[in-house]
Amino acid sequence: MNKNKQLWALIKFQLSVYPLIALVVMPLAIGAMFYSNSIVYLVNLHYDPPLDQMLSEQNLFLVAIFGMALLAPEIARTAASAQIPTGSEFVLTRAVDRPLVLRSRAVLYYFVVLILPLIALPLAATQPSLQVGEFSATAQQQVIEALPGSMAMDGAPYESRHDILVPHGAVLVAAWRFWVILAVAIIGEAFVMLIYPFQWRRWLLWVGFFLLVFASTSFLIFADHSSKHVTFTKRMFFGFVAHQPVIWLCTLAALVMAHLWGERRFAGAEQ
Amino acid sequence: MTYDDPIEMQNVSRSFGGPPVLSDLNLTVRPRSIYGFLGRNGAGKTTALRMLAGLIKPHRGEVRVLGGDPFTAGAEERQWIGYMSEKPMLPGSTRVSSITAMARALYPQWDTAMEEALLSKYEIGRRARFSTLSAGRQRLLAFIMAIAQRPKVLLLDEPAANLDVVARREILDDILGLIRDSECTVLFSTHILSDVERVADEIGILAKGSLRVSEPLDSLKDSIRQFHCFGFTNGVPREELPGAFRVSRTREDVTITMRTHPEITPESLARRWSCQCESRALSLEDIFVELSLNQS
Repeated sequence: MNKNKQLWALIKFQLSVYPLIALVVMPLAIGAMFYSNSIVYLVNLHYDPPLDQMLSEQNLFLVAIFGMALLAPEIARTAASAQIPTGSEFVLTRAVDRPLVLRSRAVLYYFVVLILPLIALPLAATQPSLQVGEFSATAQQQVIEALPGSMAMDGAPYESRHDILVPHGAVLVAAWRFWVILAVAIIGEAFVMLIYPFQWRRWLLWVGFFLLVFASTSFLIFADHSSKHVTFTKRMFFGFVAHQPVIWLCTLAALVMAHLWGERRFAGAEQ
Repeated sequence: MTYDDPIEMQNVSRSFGGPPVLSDLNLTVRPRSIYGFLGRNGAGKTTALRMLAGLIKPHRGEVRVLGGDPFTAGAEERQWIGYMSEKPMLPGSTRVSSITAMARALYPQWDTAMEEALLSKYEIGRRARFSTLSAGRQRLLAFIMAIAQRPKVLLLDEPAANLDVVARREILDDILGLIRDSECTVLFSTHILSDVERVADEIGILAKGSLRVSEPLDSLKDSIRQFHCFGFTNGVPREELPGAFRVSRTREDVTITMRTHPEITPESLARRWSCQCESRALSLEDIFVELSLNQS
């Protein structure tokens, strides 16, 4: 049977399984958390956030929640919600190749989590320059050294501010955000598929979920924000900017490999 | 793929962390027959059907549907296996039209005329969402999804649950119609014995994970009798009879349920135990109760 036809039928079916409102709210939730800085900027036009704040991603757990809901809704069931059908049993007993069921779910998952970050890329290109306000001259220097073409700006509104103009900085930040979400989404898929065949998968899922929340919060709390050191997030970002082609290739390879591995695992798991 | 019998389970065992739910289950369903699968709650019927549908694997033994392993079957093989789960099958927001659209796309042999006729007959609107259908209509929709694909093997888990008597009879008529018009083999589980008597060619009674009987209904009814012995002059005997699968004794009488045996008749038992003895044929319900209560 034609696999493309199967996949398309399954995608359309997956779309019908979720209420339309959920499919609208999920991407908006991802978008809102990443663009909160822009919202702050709109409210206070004198505020150019430091680079760390622009790159922060303390709410990445939303990607994990959507991964759980879209890739394997059946594994997050509690005793109370076990009677609410997810459609999995129905779909898996139709004339389908099982790996395609996961593929159709993955298409929806990556679409939901990546659509707004993807739209943000061309939007960022319309106003590519970025103004960053660091709180120390050291931090300002770090940014200028790491991001080619960036330059210090004079005339900051406050003495403690050290503004920097980064040509194409908005595009770089938008690409970074896209990459971060993609990377977390890949890890999320791999994790969900890793625990999928296990009997205690529901508990493992919640352990993984809280670890992610704890880890992302820890980054903010325990990260060294002193002006002398480059923070972990910044180091990651500078590395991303310096090695973009390699990073994108590796990420795409990881996406394909993680998904194909997940398909095999999904097809071999009991329901 | 070649096969003699469309459904085969050989020495199948399965547990879910506790005592085995299925224990050395052997089941064979002949082509173009309707097999009624009976058993008490927790007897293992749903587990066996889920295994045949390819949702779970046996821990031991072999499961074959249309000659292949249903768990590893691809779309090509799966298109000939119809399955209706005992549980509600879909999230509430799904529309009937989405479900049928997917089925039309997945099954080259999908019978659109049958789908439309059955949706109309059971008064299920295409625009309706699954959650707005009554429990009975949800069952009927699941049945339509299983039958309109024109399967070669149809697995129905409690198809008549939540249905009124009219809808139940209509479903049974539809199953008979499908058998008449095609090469379909049907295995259905139920608690409603009158349904089994109405349509099944053969029945299997599952108790504690293994089949106690598996044979044509008429032959089963002919082959199992109950002897009631009373008025013993030498006290109630403790002797075990070959082929007896349930014996209940009181101080005054003995009731034995067993397969017919040429040497065991009411007269021979009366002579053997110096008592009076009478025998009676059992209804399917009686047979089911006796076999289900039998602990051996």
